[in-house]
Amino acid sequence: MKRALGLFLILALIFSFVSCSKPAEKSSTSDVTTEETTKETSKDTTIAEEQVTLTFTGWRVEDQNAMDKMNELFTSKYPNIKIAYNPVKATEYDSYLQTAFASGTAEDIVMVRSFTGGKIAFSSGKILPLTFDLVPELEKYPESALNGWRTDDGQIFAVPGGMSLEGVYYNKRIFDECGITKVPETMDELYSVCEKIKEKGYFPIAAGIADAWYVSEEITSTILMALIESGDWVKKLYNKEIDFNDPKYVEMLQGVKDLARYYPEGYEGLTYEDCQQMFISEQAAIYMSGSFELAYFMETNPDLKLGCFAYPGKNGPAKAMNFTLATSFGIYSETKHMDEALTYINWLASKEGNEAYANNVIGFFGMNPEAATLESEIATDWLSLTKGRECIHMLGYECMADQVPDYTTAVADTVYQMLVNGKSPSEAAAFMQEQMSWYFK
Amino acid sequence: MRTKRFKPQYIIIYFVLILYTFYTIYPIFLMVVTSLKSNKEIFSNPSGFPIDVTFSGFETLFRKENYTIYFANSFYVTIMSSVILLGVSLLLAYALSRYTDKLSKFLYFYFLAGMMIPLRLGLLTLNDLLYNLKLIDRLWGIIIIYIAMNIPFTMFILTGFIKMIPNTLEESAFIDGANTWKVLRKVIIPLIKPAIATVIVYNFIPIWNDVYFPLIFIKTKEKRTLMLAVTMFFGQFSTNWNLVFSALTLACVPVLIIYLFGSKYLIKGLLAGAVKG
Amino acid sequence: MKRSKSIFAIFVLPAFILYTLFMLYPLISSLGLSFFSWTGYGAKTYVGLNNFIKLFTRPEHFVRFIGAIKNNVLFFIYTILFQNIVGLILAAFINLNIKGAKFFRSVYFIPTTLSIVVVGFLWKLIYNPIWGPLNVGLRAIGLDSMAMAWLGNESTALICISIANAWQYVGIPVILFLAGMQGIPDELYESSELDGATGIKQFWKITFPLIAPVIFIITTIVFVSNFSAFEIIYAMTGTLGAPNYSTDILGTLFYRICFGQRLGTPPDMGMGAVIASCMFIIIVVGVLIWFKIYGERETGY
Repeated sequence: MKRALGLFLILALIFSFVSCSKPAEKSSTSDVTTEETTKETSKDTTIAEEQVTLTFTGWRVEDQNAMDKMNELFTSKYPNIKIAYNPVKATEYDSYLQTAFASGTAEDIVMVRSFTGGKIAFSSGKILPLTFDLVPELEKYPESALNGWRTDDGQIFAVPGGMSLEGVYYNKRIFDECGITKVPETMDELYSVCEKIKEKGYFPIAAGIADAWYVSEEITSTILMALIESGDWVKKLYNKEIDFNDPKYVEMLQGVKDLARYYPEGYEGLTYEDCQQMFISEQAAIYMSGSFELAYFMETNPDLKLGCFAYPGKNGPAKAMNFTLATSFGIYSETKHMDEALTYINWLASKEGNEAYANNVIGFFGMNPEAATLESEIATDWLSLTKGRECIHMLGYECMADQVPDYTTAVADTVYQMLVNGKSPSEAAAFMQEQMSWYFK
Repeated sequence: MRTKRFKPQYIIIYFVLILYTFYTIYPIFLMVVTSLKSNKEIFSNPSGFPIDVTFSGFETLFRKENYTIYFANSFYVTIMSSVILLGVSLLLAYALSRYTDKLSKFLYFYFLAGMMIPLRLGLLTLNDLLYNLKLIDRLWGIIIIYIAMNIPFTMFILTGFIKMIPNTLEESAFIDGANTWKVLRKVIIPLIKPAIATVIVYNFIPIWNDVYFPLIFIKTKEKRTLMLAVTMFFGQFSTNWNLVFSALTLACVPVLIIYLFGSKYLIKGLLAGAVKG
Repeated sequence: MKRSKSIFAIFVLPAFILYTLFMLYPLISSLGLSFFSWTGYGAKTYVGLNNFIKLFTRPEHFVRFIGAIKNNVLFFIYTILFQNIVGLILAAFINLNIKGAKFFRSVYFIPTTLSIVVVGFLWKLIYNPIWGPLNVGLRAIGLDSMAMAWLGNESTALICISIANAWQYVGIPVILFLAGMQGIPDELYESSELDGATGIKQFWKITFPLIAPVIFIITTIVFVSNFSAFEIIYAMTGTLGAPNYSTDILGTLFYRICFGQRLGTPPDMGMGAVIASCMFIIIVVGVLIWFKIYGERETGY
């Protein structure tokens, strides 16, 4: 025991030595920068190339490499500004930001959630409001993009970063094998496609209802947008002119129920990740998700022959599709490098920055209307789905998220009641309405 | 000792014990083999041996991800917190078990109360505190939290043990002219070695495995602990399972070694503690 | 013996300062949030007892709160069954002076050293309806009808989580029970053997009553840890306690409300603090009652 303790102490000493040397290095570098600033003031004539590193945090841990590449493009244009992207695990990002704001230790650039989550973060006063003067490019952005990061009194608090389109992925190889030559354009066609795949011994659809957000964002919202044909329906719902007993909503639930015949057995226990893996490993032919998955799919299974289609409408191609305002870029109001942060944010908002983002973080699309060129073929396919279709933001984020139960939780409970506890679609719609009654009060 | 006779029911007993051993080992076996499978194979062949053994996960960890630094940080944090925790708790436990007045009884429950609520709740106040002490983004910030968090349990175990040691031993030492320090060092500590091993192992495990506090309070990459680095492989939607499992397998090794070293004492410690009640 | 006050102070102070400052003060000040409405950002608003009233009168909160308590009680019962009774049986077997006793004892303790991230993921994999070894195994031996979505079924999810939890911690009761059993003098067994008692009868008549203190300690530990549990549920069925809240316990309810959900309900620190206060009260009251019952039983001997 004595020896073990001794060993402990020796190890501890060694490590204390190792880690003590590091903070020391750090302080010396900060000395250098202050020296440089004094130099700069003395030599006013030449623009001193003071090296600034902007820190940048977000919840997209998986984008580390892609973001680093994008930021290199920025640095090659502005050599004196370097960007260090330090993401935090998505599930803890919000409590991380809370504490970082409270203690004044937040990163210079922060990703901000869209709608309710973003508004709450902005209420801290620690995110810089962006005006068209500060970021002129913002003027070009469509209203629908800016709305995600705008307060009720019109203050914009982040540059819209990427949106994701939601629809259906399919495995081209399995489709060929099953003799399916055309992507389905009506719901009935989709079901007969599923039959064919089932006969060949594959899982037709990778889907599960264990994760509430998946049910809400990728299953119910996607089907709903294919049915309602225009964004007016959503506006009416948000304005409380109609409620969840509306025939379209019941029809959507019916669609979920019909499709569930082709879900794998035990789908009530399948999580989003399970479904993802079933699709990647080519056990399932169809997967309802969003363009945001592209980079991961291509990296994990490069042999996967990916195709995509918009969720079919009832009797013909849908006139609308589901999308999300996913990422955005805001400035920490107490940053020590405000000028550089603004330079960076302006670059991100520009055509060039948008393209750099979309071409590196594949599957997210920039929202500056001038941005055009996409290098990835499949990403271009996804984008082409929007032709002739209205993009409607997935239900329940612009509002309906600020009380218990929020829309996401309520719709997941509703689908569970319908699929597992045998409620009919209209009963389920009534159950949904009952849960969300707080909104209609 | 009871007489050892071979009885037929021993076959059943061995069967149960060995079956339970397999049950205990199987998930751990799964973890290790999963770390050797490619991302694709993890889900197409989840339960068996890998078809294509790949060490790419381990390779990436050490080549690209600075794993040696994370290991060093984790060791530093865990060892520092365990050692200081042990020190302060030992003093506390000795005082509380040898002074039996009202104040000491009150203090005993005062410390115990901390075992009842998760410290996660106190996050925001803790954040203010660390900020004011300039301990954010410092390994010492989380070390202090771990010490404070584990004082109740450590004190609880150590007090139980010290109370079992008869006073007479110390008294004779005092009569020989030893001071309190010396008594603690020469009489008490040697007698409660098993308890000390117990609390070391018992504290080492959760501190080593903790992700939450480093995640909130550590910002610089070079200061990440091992388990925090592991969480960096859990994406918002997409996770590199091969890397996660390689990292988790590696992260388990030090704890297992500590456990195997300490298990003799640990079990003794728990044994003695339980008998006392 | 002379024991000076100053030495007492010197010994107590370091721990006292660290614990008070970094543990008790943050906790108490957070429980104080019960009286405020706060999202964690920006300003706090004092709302008096409103949060408490809301918890107990608003059905959407109260139903979940009661549900969480119910599930917590179930979780506690299952843990006692799968962890402590199994632990007791294993300990009783190991205590029979068999060969390899040390080996078994050590092996059973190994899972305790794993992090919850590992345990949660591994067991999710085992229970997976499609490729999980459990269902694959059942199908292989022809029990297809028994293969199911273990974590997706309201009647099995909590039991399955309790089993995973018990798998991890069974080593602790094994060791504690062994300790208790080894403290029993052999003469007691010998004399009972003369009376004709063997095997199971002997266990009930001698071993069991004498390890009552151990049972008491383990039950207390399990009670406190189950009612403040969070991680294992979070790792296996998420903060919503899926499916249909059948695995929602106080810890997940607290987390969900206090820190909010991804793109869902915003954080409500005040309500979170109310739930944490209730957790604290339940644990303290539970422990006190348990101590009292045990105390009375003991004196009745």
